[in-house]
Amino acid sequence: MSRPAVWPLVVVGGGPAGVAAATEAARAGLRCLLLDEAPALGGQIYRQPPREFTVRDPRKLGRDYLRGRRLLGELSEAADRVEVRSGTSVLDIVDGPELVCASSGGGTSSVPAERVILATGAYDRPVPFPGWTLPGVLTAGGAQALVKTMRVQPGDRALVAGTGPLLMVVANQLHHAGVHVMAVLEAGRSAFTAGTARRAWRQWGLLGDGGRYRLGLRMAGIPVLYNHAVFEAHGDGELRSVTYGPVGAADWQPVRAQRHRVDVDLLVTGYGFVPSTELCVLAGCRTEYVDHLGGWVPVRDDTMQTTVAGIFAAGDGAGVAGSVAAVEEGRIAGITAAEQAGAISAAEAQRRRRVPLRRLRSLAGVRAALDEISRPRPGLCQLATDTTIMCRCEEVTCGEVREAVAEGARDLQAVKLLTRLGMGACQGRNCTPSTAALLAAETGHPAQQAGRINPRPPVRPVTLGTLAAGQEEAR
Amino acid sequence: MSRHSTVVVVGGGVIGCAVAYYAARRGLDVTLVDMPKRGRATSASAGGLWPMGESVGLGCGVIFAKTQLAAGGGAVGHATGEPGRLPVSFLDFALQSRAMFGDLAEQLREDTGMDVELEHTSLLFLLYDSGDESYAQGLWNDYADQRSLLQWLTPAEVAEAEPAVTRRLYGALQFHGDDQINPYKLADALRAGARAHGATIIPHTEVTGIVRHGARVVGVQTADRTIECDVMVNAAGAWAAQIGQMAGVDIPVTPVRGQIVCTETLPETLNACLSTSDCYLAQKHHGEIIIGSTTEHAGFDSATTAAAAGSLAAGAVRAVPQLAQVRVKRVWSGLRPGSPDELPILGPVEDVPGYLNACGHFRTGILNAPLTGLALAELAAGEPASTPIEPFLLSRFQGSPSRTVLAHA
Amino acid sequence: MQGDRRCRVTVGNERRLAGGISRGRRVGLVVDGDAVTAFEGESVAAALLAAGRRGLRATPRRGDRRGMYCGIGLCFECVTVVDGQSGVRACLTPVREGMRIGTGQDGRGYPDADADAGVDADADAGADVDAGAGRGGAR
Repeated sequence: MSRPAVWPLVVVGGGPAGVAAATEAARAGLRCLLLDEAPALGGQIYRQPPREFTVRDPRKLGRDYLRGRRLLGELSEAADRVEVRSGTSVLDIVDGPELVCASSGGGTSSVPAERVILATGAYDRPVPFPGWTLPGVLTAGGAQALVKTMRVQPGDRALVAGTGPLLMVVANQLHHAGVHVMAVLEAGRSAFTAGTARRAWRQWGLLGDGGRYRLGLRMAGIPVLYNHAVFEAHGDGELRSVTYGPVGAADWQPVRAQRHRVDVDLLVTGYGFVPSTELCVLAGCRTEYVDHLGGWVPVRDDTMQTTVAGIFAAGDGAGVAGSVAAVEEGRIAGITAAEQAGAISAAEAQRRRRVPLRRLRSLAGVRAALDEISRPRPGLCQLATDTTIMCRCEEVTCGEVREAVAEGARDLQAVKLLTRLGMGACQGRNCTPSTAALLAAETGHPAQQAGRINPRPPVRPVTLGTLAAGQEEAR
Repeated sequence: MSRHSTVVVVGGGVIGCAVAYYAARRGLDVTLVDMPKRGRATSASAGGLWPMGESVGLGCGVIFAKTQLAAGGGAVGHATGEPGRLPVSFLDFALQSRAMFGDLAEQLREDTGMDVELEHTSLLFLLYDSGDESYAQGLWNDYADQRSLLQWLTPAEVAEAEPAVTRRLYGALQFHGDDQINPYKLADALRAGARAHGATIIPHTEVTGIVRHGARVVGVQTADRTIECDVMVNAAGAWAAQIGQMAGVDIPVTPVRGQIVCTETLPETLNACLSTSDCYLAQKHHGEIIIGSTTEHAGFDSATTAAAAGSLAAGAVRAVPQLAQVRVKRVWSGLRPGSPDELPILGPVEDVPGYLNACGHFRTGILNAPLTGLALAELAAGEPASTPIEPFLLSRFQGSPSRTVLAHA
Repeated sequence: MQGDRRCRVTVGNERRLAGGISRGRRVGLVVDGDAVTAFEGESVAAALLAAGRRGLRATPRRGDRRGMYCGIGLCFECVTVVDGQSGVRACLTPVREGMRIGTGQDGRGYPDADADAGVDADADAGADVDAGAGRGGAR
């Protein structure tokens, strides 16, 4: 297959949104390049076991495995129009647009495109508490990767804590992997109320899933404690025990007087997700702060176009709404990209967008209900004490951040200048959401006034050798 | 709301903090107003203290000259391909300022408990080819008075002193007394020290205007207050022209961007700071290696570019091959306050009483902070400066249409 | 202990699950000087976890132990030294036969001084080493 000098479409991200976008673009006759950092497509939720493993019983790998296979199957039907480059990290996006990538062979390459769909996904929201940096404390995503994909049991005795429907899913998965899950701590209240049911009746599938997981836990004898959270993780060099307790129903402030301690060697935390928007910001897309979408998200119209011509954003990377919504958003972006490229007419594009748009609308109701329950409340900021690490990379403590605020720092940039928070390898992912929340609590201003730490290329670390080897003309 | 302070320092980078520190230490009533802006040079600096190196055009100078040569042009008013050498007035100032660091570091530790990580590394100019060698020979010939600070190293001697450095060398010229410091900690400590001696620090506050009675500066305005003063000091770095304008003073300072690549933390790899025709390298106390830099006229744009990062990385790998395997932690840039002749702009301005300059420090803000701070504190107290500042007065730019201007990259 | 005990299998250790998949070839790793068995396709983080090793590095400032956290390559907590190269994300990197891994115990979390990582220790000025090319590649 000969390569175009300039790709009509480049999709960044091989999760549900990216795969759906590439599939729809290909179906409309548009050639596209799909770049993905992971060794194989699927993103997080549809992560596939390694090639070297042989799948014997798909049912053991869970519903998401099968859904993922179906979605990837659709893509492979359009294989002649889609070139997939796995193991490829995008370092930067510059005028053109042009994507600067690090290829696995070493060196960087420039990929010019006519239009780009950014489907970069989201990552676990970090919530600092004492001891959260101990080995043995994992995010929900990390625990799932080990259990679902690597088929490794991450520990013997576990606590699952946080908020949102994912907790039940992960707890079930851990249980089926032979982990003794002592309890699930949900900071909010139960999702299964008359109010939620009313708003969610059209999405009975989603609720049905949730109900199944809840039932699974009940049958396994795993208690779910609502309005509870983890307060502290203990251990010398790795996790040995956890202190937890109730939180206030309205704001989730820890009620330390009623704390308990339990011996566990695995703590899985899940407090929702934050969109990965570095490439959107580097591309110059306007962003806005939307609480229920996870924070800063690109401004888009209903065809997934951002404020920069030729740049689309779809899926959790543009606003956390879950994998089902991500697929529909990806479809809309792919269809619209094809329309813009002239591969299909406007009328045809309109026709193709109808079903995904309708599905998105019907999802919106139940998402809103679930998001309200799981919206992180200010009380979580009180979990961190002065010695708790806020910036994991640079080892900046909460106390140092509070000192910076006392010195006059009012936004993330100022905190960064004073403390070096956000200057490490993760480029602020692990610290900026929680530091913004802390600033909001300390200053009384809303979190969006804390701004952002500006992403800088390369948005993935590369070696000096890779940078030095310079640009190849590989397109 | 209004208040009065004898001295108001505008700008809280390393220069402003140094002025505030020395002024407060001698008992003056000082207020520092600071609005940190993206690209502030102090936060972007590598922290080299290279009086000889910077004066003879090493560090950024020799890199710039090489890029100019490649582009077919010459550097500041000198022979094509040779980095610009700064006048003896600058060298004297820089050497004197450098000599203050030992005592200053100790004093700051006493005043604030902070360690500014002053390290005696020396600076090695690595000679890759005959061009480098003849340039070094020229320095040796021309700086006879400073010869005690210079030392030639054979390739074998370089290999022994710096095992990580490439063997593909003609040798090196070592500059003793060219050392390094942690620039963030220096600025933080100076600020904390100023506060400890009674200065008022007003952070995260923009200066919106300067109050004058006739031509005399009598106060500084912010959004919510006016601070009356006897004298104000313009230490606003790359933004000095904007502040100067508010006082009716035309300051020829323009931003000159420099990009830096910073590696992850490493064990001891380099002993000295290195200067080559591709880049300079400095391993900081923390273990990260800082690789710099570029000289670009990009206005106030503090973005970083893939081209610069690639070129600096290539230079680093050439000088220290094992760095090819090492991860880049960050890339950043800073806006140096550039003046037309690369010399700082210090001291009073004719016909504008109540106003003092402490700006235009270009590549050597960190190095020249102590002496600048001391001199400005003396001037603010109404005394003559203990170091000659005539070469650095703003008046040198007036009525001289043939002044050289920095070549634009 | 609750859970599906049938799904666990002893493969030198009990953390690997048997249900649903069969693994590929075994590979041998050297972790902090010790021999560790893994399977092709596993990530370094998963292989070390299966071998009971959760600490993957020590932090530069305080020397605190850190291990895998996000599992998707974004947090950089799991960076280990692999075959002399530092900063390698253990959660994203598949194991290979003979891989040498350092987790920062006893200060060994840095690139090996004598690893074949491009140090032209014996090269002289005339040697044919393209020092500016980075790791193994031509410009």
